[in-house]
Amino acid sequence: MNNKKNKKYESQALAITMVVMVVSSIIAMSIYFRSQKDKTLTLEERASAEALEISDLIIDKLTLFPVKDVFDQINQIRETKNLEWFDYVDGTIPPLKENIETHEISELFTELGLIDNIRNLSICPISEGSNEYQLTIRQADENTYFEIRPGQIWSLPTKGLDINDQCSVNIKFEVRGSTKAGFVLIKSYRSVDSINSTYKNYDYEDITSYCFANSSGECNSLNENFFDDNWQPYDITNSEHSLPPIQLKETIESEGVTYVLDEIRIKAIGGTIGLKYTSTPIELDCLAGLRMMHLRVSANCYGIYRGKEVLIPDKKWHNSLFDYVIFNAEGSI
Amino acid sequence: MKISSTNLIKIPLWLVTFFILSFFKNSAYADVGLVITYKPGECVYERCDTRCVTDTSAGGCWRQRKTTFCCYTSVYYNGVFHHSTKDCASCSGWGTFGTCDCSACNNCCTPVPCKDCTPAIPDGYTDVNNGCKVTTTRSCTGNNGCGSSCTVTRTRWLIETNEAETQPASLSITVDDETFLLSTESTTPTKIKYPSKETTADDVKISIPSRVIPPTSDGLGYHFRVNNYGLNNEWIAYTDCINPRPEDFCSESTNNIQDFTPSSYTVLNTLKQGAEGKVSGMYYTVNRCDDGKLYSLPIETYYKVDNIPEPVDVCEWNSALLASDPECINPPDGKCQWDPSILATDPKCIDPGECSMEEDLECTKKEFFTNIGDEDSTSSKGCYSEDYTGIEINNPLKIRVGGVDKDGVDEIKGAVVWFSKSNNTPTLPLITETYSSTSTDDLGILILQDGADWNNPKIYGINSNNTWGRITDGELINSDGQQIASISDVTVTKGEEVVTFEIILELLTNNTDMLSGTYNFKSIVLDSYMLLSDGRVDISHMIRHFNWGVDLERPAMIDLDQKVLDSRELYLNWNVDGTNSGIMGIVINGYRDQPLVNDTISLFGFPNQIILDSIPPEDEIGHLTDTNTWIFNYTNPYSLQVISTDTNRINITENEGGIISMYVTAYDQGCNDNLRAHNIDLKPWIATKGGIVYSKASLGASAKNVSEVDELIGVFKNILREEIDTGTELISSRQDYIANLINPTLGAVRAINTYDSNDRKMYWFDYLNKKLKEQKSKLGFTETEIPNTSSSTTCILQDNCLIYSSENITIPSGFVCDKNTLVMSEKDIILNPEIIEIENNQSTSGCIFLAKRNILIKEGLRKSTTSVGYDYIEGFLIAENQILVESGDINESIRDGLEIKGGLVAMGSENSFSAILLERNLRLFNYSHPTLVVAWDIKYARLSEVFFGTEAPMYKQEVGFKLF
Repeated sequence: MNNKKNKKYESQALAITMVVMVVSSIIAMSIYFRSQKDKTLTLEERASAEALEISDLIIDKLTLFPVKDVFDQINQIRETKNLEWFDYVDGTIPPLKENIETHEISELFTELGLIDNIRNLSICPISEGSNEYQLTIRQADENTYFEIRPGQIWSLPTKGLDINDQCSVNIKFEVRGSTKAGFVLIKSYRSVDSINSTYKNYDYEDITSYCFANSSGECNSLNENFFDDNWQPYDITNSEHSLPPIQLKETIESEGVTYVLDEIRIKAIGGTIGLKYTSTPIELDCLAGLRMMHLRVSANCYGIYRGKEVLIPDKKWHNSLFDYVIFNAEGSI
Repeated sequence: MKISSTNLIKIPLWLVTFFILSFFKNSAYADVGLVITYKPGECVYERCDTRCVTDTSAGGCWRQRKTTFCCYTSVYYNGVFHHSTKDCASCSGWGTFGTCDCSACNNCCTPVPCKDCTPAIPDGYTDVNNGCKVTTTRSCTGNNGCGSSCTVTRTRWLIETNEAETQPASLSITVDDETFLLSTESTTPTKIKYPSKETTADDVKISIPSRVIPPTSDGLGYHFRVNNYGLNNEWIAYTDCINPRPEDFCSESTNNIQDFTPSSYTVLNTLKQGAEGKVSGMYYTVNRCDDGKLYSLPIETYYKVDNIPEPVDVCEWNSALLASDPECINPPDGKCQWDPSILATDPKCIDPGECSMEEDLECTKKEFFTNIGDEDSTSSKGCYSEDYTGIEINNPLKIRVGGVDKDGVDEIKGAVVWFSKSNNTPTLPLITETYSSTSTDDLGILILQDGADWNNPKIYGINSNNTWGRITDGELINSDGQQIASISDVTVTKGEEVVTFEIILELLTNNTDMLSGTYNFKSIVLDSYMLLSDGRVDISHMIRHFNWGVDLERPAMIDLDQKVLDSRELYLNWNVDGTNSGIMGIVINGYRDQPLVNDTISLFGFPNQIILDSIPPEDEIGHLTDTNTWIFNYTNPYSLQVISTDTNRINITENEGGIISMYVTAYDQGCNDNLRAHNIDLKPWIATKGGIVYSKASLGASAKNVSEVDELIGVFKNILREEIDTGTELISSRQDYIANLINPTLGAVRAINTYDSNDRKMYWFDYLNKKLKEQKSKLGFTETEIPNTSSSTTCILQDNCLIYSSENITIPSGFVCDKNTLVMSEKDIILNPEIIEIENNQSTSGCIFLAKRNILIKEGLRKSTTSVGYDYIEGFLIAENQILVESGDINESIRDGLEIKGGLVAMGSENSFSAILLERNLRLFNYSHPTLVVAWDIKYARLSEVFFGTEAPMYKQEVGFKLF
């Protein structure tokens, strides 16, 4: 009897031991796999951040220069390689690459006079693995919205451009976030006398303020922050809606002097707005010098692809501080 | 066919008439009585006549004018008379008969009166003419003596049958439709209701039971004789029905209910309270034969008119109240006797004596409204009134009505209090159980005994249709369903002689339709006779006691404004409407809302100056007992509207730079007060033209309307008087308030809660400096540290002039910006006006001033003479910290303003109180002149491109996917 009893206890102990061992093994394995996964994620996270950092760096360097200068340098490099020049308005440039074998972006940097060596960076170095940087530059398509943050300006500086008299621009807007926003359209003029060019004195009609509105045409249906009846509603519910066409070579008479449109400025108010524009007639190249270029830099770091892109206007404009007659950034006046 | 024979023979004239009639008619003259019947072909008559006829028609001789016919024959056959004449003789003239011989003319048989029968005599009749008007006829058939039958008819006269009626069983009198069966005992007359006030003879009726007309009579009627004794038998004498005394009368008709119509007096003068009288009633029947009447024995009854309760001075009547009501404490028995000094000063310690309760006496008012005259009549701001209920004073009203009934206190059953605008209150409103709404022109409350005691009296409110509606929740509502009054604490105390009714009535405000205006306060105590069995209540004798005003609306501050006289003096003008009552007083307070204002102010004509303290809570402003005020007291009659125009001149003395808040508090007769503040804005303000205006907080004092300030015409170089406003484009602020525009037609728009990404601290100087360095490498600049008298003398060689210093830079007065000029300091830039450009310059030549810390604008040369002049600067000013426009001309009465062409941008990076700070102050000329005028110019934007180049905001967007 005692022997049977002892055997019975031995079996139970064995079974319990087996169970404990199996459970322990499962836990150990899960901990192992979990730590492996965390490690992988950490590495990927790091690679992702490095890819963004690389993209950011290259964009910052390139945007120091006018877009046209960048293209000119690209074409000169292509010329040395017996490649055709391309028109950046209509053509498409293949992405410039920077990897262990290709040095196209470095060459561009050198041509632009940048002394930075992007091949020997401490993060995501080209020398490791399949790391690679790419630069794509092209004209932004018509449906790309340029974002304007509140207080900032987008402009069409027409001065100095040879624009056909028939050219007009159609500008459309879109909400970017809050609908409680609007914009101010400011037109400035200079005299047509190119030698002693003067600027037309300010006139109330040079400014038009728009608020985003729905189909009812009431600003305040969307925005209780805007007052006065002088706001012009801009229907954001209708995707076909746009500002009345603006003649790019609009001329006006003032005090006996003929002035021509010098600049169209759009200032965002209350929130970020999106803007896109087209020109008519389409057969004329009305937007020569007024286009938006799309610059994208991406990096493949340890198999993680991340990048950044910006829209760069062909022609830039004066600082928005000079649009204020009073700017009191602290306290009350 | 019937012809009179008697008269035919006797009266020739009738004959002629008959003839004439016979010619034109087939019927002859007929009469009752004897008749002659003719047979066909019978000769009716033939006789002479000597009358000239005047008939002019053609025909026989008898028709000839002036002709006498001697023999005329009438023959009857075929139902028609046929006539013939003969022996016509001419008349001798018109009106003169001729003569003729009638001897041969009488050939007919003459009928005689009908004969040979006698008509019968009916029962109750006689054949003797007794004069009775009631007759009948009886006939029989006889003959006429010529062979024809005829009828004999005779009259029969009624023998009189009338008899007198028995005595009436009872006699009643009806007053206001309430019927009282009168006593037949003179010692115990029946008490009848005192008629309602507008009662006429039609409204009081006397009656005896009606009876039917007996067959023996020709009619039945009712007869009353009323001997009104008056009070204490003053009119007990009685004359008769023919010449009654003025208070007495007789009345007789076939109606058993007849009007109580004293011969001369009115009903109310006859049936006066406590009056007695005798009313007799009897029946009469009318004879059948004549108009004679037979009268029954009279019933003699007696009445006495009810005495209605009278309002009394409760304290003097009800000894039971003396112990409980503090107002009824007689001074010798109360606390006042312990301190004789109080007796002279405390009105409560003076026994007012008995109030006669006559109309419009002050004591009457205090008898009914027991809480007026003490603290309930004084508002929290010290306004006192014993004539009005306002929002605060005499509200609720403690109403007390005491009534005494000469007929005994047990007769008292209720009381009514009434506020009536028209004094045209209903007389007999009906009690219904349904309360709907009460007109705000007539508010009546009825308290009625419920059961045998006064423990739970019933409360009624008058409905708009003048019925009483039962109120259980104490709420009186208007036709809109809004509560207009609240009744509470209804108490009825029955004493030995007087019954006292007490209620608390609160008049409620904030309704579209509430009590307002002057009301007649009326009351009446009701006895059982005034409560009619059909539910009506006689309140016609309700007594008007006094006028009581109700004003539950605060005065309307229509206007409060000022008119500036000079830099220190102004007129404070107001227009105040009492709304429902007149203005009783106006209190002026003055406070300061900023520490900059620290001097007193004075008002011409008032000896005291107001010390400007900080603004207290609103309920502490406008106290009539406050001494740091100016108080205007108005006297009766009070004007509903008070307008002060250019009469109250205030001197602000040395105050400037803040706001003096003037508070005008108006009191109406209901002691309702309303105040309005008027800020004397001593803060400078800015006018701009063009460009965008942004301020993180307030934009400062709002722009003033200067459209009629002629002194501003031609003062400014870059802005017209009509263009002066805070801005003409976009005006935005980070905060949630922005001042209104003066000239919105200029096209400006405003936005609040607006974030502007240009608001970056400690950024712009370095950023622009960096941009400048980039431009330097592209363009050639002449760079120096110290400015000369102009850009061209400072930077002789090149078109672009850069004045850059790590220290302060001072721009001297008269400096001319005649080149593209950038003035940059790593510390402060001090500008001394005037700083100008060359004349008519629209090119980019000009100055941009960029300071890493502050830009200080000095006072410059004095420009003001007899009006405000302006210093002038042309240039775009950017300060990393602050732009400070320093004060100037401090000791001058008229100070200079400042005009800038360009723009002002200040970031307040050193946590300044204000990034742009105006220390200049024009005092009261701030109302007519902006201190700072800034006109934007695009040229500075173009100039900025020279020094800082161009830029474009670029926003990076991430591409690709982040793994998770």
